[in-house]
Amino acid sequence: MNRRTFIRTLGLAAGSLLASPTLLPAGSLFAPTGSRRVNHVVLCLFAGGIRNLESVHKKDGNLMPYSLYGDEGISRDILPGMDMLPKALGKPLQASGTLFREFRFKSHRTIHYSAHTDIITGVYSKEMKLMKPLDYPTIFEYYRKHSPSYKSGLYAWWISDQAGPFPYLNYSSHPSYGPLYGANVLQPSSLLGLNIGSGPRNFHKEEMLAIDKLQQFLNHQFQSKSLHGGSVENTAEDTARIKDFVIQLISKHESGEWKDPWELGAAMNEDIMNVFVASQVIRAFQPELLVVNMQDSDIGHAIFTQYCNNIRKADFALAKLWETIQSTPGMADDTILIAMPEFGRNLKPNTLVDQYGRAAIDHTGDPTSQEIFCLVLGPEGVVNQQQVFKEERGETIDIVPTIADILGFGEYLPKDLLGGRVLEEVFV
Amino acid sequence: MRLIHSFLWMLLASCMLLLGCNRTLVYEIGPLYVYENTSPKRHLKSPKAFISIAYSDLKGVSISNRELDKLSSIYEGIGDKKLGESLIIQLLLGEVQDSKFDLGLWSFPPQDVFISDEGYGHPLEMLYVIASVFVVDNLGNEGITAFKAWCEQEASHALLAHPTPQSLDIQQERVALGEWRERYPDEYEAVQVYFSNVLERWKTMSSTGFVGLKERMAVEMDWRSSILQPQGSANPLILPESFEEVEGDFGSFIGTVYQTFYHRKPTEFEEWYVEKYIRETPDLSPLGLYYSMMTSDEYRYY
Repeated sequence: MNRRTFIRTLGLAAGSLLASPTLLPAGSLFAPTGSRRVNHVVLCLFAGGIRNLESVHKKDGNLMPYSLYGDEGISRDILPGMDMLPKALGKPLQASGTLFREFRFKSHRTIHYSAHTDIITGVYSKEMKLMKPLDYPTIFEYYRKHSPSYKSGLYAWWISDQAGPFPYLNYSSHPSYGPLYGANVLQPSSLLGLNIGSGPRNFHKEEMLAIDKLQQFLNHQFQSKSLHGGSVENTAEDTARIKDFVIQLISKHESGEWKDPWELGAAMNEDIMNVFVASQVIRAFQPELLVVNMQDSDIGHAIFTQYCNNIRKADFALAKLWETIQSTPGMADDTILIAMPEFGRNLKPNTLVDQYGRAAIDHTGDPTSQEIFCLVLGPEGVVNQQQVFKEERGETIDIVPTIADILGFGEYLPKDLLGGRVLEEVFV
Repeated sequence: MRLIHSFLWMLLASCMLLLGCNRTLVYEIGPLYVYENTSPKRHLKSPKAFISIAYSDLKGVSISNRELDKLSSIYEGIGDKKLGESLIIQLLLGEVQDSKFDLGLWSFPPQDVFISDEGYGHPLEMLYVIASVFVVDNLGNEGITAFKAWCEQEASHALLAHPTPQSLDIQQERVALGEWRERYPDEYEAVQVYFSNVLERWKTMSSTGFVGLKERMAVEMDWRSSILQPQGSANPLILPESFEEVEGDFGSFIGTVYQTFYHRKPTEFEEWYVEKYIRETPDLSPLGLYYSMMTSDEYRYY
């Protein structure tokens, strides 16, 4: 090989090395280059079906004083049906971000599970499969697959207010995604108040190591594969941390310490407990992506006044969630919180009248039931503060691309699957 | 002479050819029988089967509806199912450790509930119906034959005086089962779980066929004691405080543990390894051994 040939070969080799892509564990050819706006996103589905009339339009007064500006009093006729809650002090949450007063859920399928699915996948679903993984990838899977560095399950959480199909929202059956990229799920109402008696047998660290080693032998003898293909899985280390967390959660609730952690007495409900558990997950793991929901306002089908009362409680819980974020090292000033109902409720009431003379309201897909609000909170310099959009703007399927944009992997979303846009107007 | 000479040469050549070939030697030996240590386990336990079997394995009694609901709730509440299962095992081991056994009876409705227009007059008749369908679905023709024989044998038993034990009409039974399931979903679930346990034992015990199935049925399906009075069927696992208690008979202890959790005998290698491991690992307690086995892959299958 002469000198010229050598140099030419070397040049070709170097060029092809530079040109050849690096195959990342996540399966993408290059690491995403998009920078992050912040490092954490919390999505709170202020759900259960809440009309704009009762939330941002304040038809019965300001039922959300923790979130919204205004001192409009609650309507006198329903006031006796309201539980006592601590008075909201200081600026409302709205001051720390952008409020879309006329956000939309552009679908007639006002079914709770279906609408949750739409928000989490960024796709208006056409059919609903219960108790099965979703057809379209979830935001959790996009996040875990396309983030520039490996994200274990500890970084992604789904705290579900209800059992049934809702815990299935953590991953899809999409061939390119699936449980490998799913979120950890906790469904607090299934875990708490069970009276577990003796409590778990705990093994000290040395014994746990001995157990693990023996189990390796036992598993090697059996040699089965894909045992839990239908479930998100964690590393041994993460499993131990999550299990400790769950045991602590159950034990503290059983001992009474966490039965009413925010000292609300009779006002305590499942929504608040669900958000409390999400707060504890935030404290324990500082997740980069957490989704939590509330659904007690769905009592609006039967008792209007209680529906209003539960909107107030959800408002209180949302404020506590933000307070937790802002007091958690690693997440304070580095988190964007998005809160929105999954859909609204009908304009016309049904025939059920409560003891205060108010008629209940269903959600059957009329135009009013597609009207919702969306509140996006975040640090100054990232999220526009005190901004309000009064005109119709944004829809629920925009949430997935917006979260992806915030966490810096937006360019890797499969555009053919998603129809939403990034809510650019939120950001500075 | 020339002809003789040629013949001799040909004979010599033939002999050399024959002797030069490799001989094929066939060594005959007696028939070699290779036994599987267990029937293959291909089926993943359902969450409820996993919980009820774990409960029964540790406590020797069937799980009550209430307890099953409670532990199932924990399973449902955690996304990482493997984590959920291991937590459930830890909770059960915690109870075993504290000897707080829940001996709750099956929550069958009062007997008068079962006196119905359909002609079923006793809870045991529902069990019979469920058992017969389960036998058909899980044990095949051989099972049906054994089941019928067992029914005939037991026909004199007042509690099992089912109208048609000798002419099992499975379609009719299936319809009846559907009706029971609709009317008493909780009880149906409870009995179904119970039979899952029983059938799992039958299957794993019968890897060489259904030899002795009739006898096993007579033992396993002593419904009076094993369902209505679960305490009576208690056959709890040996739980030594420490491995020193079983020092003299490690082989038997390990065999019992394998039989209880895996429904099979350990191989000689497994027995040797586990015994050696226990002896060399002072940090491991008997409960740690149980936890290790009950959270292993094999325990997830039947």
